[in-house]
Amino acid sequence: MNPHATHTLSRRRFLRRATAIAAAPMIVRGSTLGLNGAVAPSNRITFGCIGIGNRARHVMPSFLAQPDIVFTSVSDCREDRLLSAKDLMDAHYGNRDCRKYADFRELLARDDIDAVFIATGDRWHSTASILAARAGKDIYSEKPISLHIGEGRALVETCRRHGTIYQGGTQRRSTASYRFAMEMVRQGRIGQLRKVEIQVWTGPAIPHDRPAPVPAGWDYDMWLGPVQWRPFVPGRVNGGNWNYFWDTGEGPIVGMGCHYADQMQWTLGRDHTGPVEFEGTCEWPDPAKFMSDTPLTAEIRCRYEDGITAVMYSRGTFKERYIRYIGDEGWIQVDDETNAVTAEPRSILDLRATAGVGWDNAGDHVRNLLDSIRSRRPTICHPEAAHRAQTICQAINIGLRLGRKLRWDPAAERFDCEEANRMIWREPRAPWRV
Amino acid sequence: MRIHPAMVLCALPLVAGAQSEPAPPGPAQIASAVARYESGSGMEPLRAIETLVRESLGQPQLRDALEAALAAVLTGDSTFEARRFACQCLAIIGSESSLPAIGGLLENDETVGIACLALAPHPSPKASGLLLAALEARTGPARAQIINTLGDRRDAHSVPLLSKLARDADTAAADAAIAALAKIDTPPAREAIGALRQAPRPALTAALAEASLRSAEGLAASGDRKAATALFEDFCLPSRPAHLRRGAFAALLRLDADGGEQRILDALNGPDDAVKPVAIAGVASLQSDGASARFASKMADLYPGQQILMIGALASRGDGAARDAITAHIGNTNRDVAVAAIRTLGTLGDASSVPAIADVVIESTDTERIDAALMSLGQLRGTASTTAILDAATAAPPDARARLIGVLIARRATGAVPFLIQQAAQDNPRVAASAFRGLARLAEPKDLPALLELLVNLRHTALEDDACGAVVQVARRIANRDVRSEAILATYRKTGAVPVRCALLRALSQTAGTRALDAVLAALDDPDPRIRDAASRALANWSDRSAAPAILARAGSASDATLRILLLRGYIRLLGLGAEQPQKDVLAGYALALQLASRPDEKRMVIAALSASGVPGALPLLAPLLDDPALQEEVAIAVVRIARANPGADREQARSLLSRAASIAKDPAQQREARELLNKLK
Repeated sequence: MNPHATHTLSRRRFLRRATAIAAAPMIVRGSTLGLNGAVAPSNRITFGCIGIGNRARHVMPSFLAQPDIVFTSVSDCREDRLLSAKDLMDAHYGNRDCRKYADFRELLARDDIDAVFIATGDRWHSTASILAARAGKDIYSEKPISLHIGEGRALVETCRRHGTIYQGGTQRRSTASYRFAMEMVRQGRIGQLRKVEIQVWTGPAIPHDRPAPVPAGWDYDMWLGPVQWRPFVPGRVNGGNWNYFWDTGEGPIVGMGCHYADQMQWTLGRDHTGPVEFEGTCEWPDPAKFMSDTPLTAEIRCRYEDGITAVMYSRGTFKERYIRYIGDEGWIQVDDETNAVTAEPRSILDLRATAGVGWDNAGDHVRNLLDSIRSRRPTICHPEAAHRAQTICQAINIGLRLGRKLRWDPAAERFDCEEANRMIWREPRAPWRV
Repeated sequence: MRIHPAMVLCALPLVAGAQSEPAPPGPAQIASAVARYESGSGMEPLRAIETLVRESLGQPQLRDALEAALAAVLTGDSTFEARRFACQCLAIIGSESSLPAIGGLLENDETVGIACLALAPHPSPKASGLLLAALEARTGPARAQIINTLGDRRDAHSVPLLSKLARDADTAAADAAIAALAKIDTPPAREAIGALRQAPRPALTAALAEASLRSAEGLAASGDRKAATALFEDFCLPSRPAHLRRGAFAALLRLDADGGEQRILDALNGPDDAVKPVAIAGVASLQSDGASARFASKMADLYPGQQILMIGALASRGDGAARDAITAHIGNTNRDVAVAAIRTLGTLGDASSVPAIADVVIESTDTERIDAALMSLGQLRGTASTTAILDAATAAPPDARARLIGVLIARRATGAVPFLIQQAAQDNPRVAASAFRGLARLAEPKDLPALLELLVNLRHTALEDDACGAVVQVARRIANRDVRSEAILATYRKTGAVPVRCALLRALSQTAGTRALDAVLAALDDPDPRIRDAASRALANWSDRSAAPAILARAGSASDATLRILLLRGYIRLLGLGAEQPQKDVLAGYALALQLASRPDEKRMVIAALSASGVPGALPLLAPLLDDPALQEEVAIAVVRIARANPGADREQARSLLSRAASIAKDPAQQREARELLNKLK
């Protein structure tokens, strides 16, 4: 796919095409289509799971509910999780067939696995995806899809090179409320779009903690993966705390912000480009009390070349997450916690019940992946789209860490600031590379 | 929190121990504190350094001082974590002056990784020189790390050494060197990769394939389309893994001057089934005129699964030829293909697609095709589509008409109301039932007289509930309760047919209002027993609390046991309606209900409702009933339930009653819970 191909399309043509692509039914019966040139006897897509912690367990039921999937293998660097994952799969399938691997490279080496479900910590998402693509697997990866911009670009190129079907875990593209808001904006129901407002929550701060022995059953070296070595500190590692350290995560601005940045990009039809300017301020944790280093609160503005601006707030509570599109004739907002859609003028909401639109038949993110695996057509959240949305959040963080306004060239993927450019790439720890 | 270096002063023991009025610490002083950092200690110095990094962006002198201080952290007895942190900062601001200090880290396997953290983004070519110089002495992962970093730096000068390493016996080093050469992607690097392809080592096959494809991309980007095509075509050979064939094929489509059209046609005629889906997917983005028609004509040559994919690809093109081609497959003998075509038209089609899709509903006996057609009709955009569906429904035979009415309902086709009124009067009960359901959803209050007329003249008694339901739903759209019942009352008064009057009484119970209630109360004394029964049931099912006194009075005087329990049940239901009712009134209501209940089954019903209500102060009502052998087991369960819901209320009485409940309850779980609650109260 040419990343910049859509630049030459008129808006109308782009929208018509995007709508048709999104709406085209890709459901292909197993009885009529095989994989890799041969009709698989079971006609099911065989999955392996890489990383099966809390997030994997949250998403997994949506996968297991699909009749044309079978999970045959699981992998995790924590023995406790690995054993319980095997139990989970065996209980689901009523057998003892699920294979377990402490090192996911062994799982990738299996020829009988078509695709992988990656729900590791953020530090692994891109590297594991790239290794999977090189091994000929199709991919679902949790978001955020990369830890730095360079890694994301490598992911896009690797998937293209290997003909990989990849889907990022920004499921809101398959959620009725968000699809409705997207359509209303695209149809001009709020007039000319001027601004997008996004709110994620106030980031937590993690208290100081000392190094400790690695718990039995943990392969900490594998847990770190591409992150340059640092000692095992329970407070950094446990309970998702890794989200709040630059090495291993990037806080709510990226962790959750990527969902809304993705929505914004999708709604604006900018899946192959992005904003050109980032500027913001933030509040850091008190270093006397806390060791985490991602912002607590923040307010960031970014601007697209055509003048549309976006404001991302990191503030409030977790439940107060939202995205609001503001036009010159109204606005529409989706509250993430409740999926409630509000709008001004309120008459916009009446369109949700209008015949023939099928808002509540928004499709299913997992189904979209499976259909794409069979049709070899890009998923609704293909690598380029996922990377571009992720880039917005990562550029925001780079700007905050440097404390300066940044201009970004979406075509060259370079900043106007040399120091910022040096933060586009973070060297992974060998033997890992992307 | 903003950390200014001055704030670090008090956090630095060595600085804090200095004389009074110390000067604000400079980078060197802060860095000396950083040097001792280990997880668990305060991070003020680290944050202060980060602040200085920010401030140094526009201040060369500060930047130099900061860099020197960070370089100092890399030497001496600094902790590993301090060095790691310093490397992170130098990755952002490091110049050539800190390279010697970073280079020192390359002498130790354990610090090579963090050195590479600083060196990978370093702008100076001397950084690569350091890496190359260190390579010889390192082994294992440290060696691979340096090779990777040279690749990530895209260091063209390292190509000769990497070319040599790519043939090294150390497979990990060779693997890393091949990857690095691919990233560097200069002509000499491509040449080196090409040479490796001549004598590939099995252990390096994957790395070499990746590198070769990168070379092909590089050749294409540099304008050497011919060489790139040749290389990509090599990866389309049957001996290559399927994913590489697919990736290379897609790359070729991007390279081809015709957008890959001829290559797609060749692939569709060829033997490689793994590539065919990619070829079909490529149809979606072809730019040539007539591509839709050309590939639509290929449909017959494809297997059904491939036909389905082609339908998807044509749908993405979205032009008239594509739509026509897809429409032609609505009647495909293969069900999956037909269903795919039908569903696709739902999103791609318009009003002109309606007749073809509606024909599936009318003519097919296959439920899967019919369901797909109904879904598509529901999805078609625009009011013109709705009008076309209405036309199709009008002309359709009864069964299909009933289904198409369902589509009109789903589309909220308010313009179809006159048609639905007409259809509700039809002989065919399925059509009429669908029509009534549609009227319930779509009709407006102005349509009430017509709906009532339909109810009065109903041809099938089985439709009475549908008709009555439509009347109620539409009447409820009138805000004023008395007004909403007016039309129903008018019909009730003028009609003589008993079944209709009974149905209207039921409707009145749901629209409610003072006049409606008066009419139902009057009907309780009607000479016809069917009217009296219908009125009693209407009263028992009244939809708001206004009927509660009347229900209670009627229940008290009812001699018929069934009617009595019906009314009692209705009364209890009304007690539970609305959260705004004062709880004392609710409690009083239950007391009245208990008084009124004379038989054990009646009392049990009240006890169960009372215990489920959660209303405080309920225990005194139950106390006397614990002595009744016919009720005491239910009462014991209710006592436990109420005590659990209101643990703080009536503690003394609760203890007494729970004690008794524990001894009465037969269920061990009940007994245990009663004792546990008792213990808590003690």
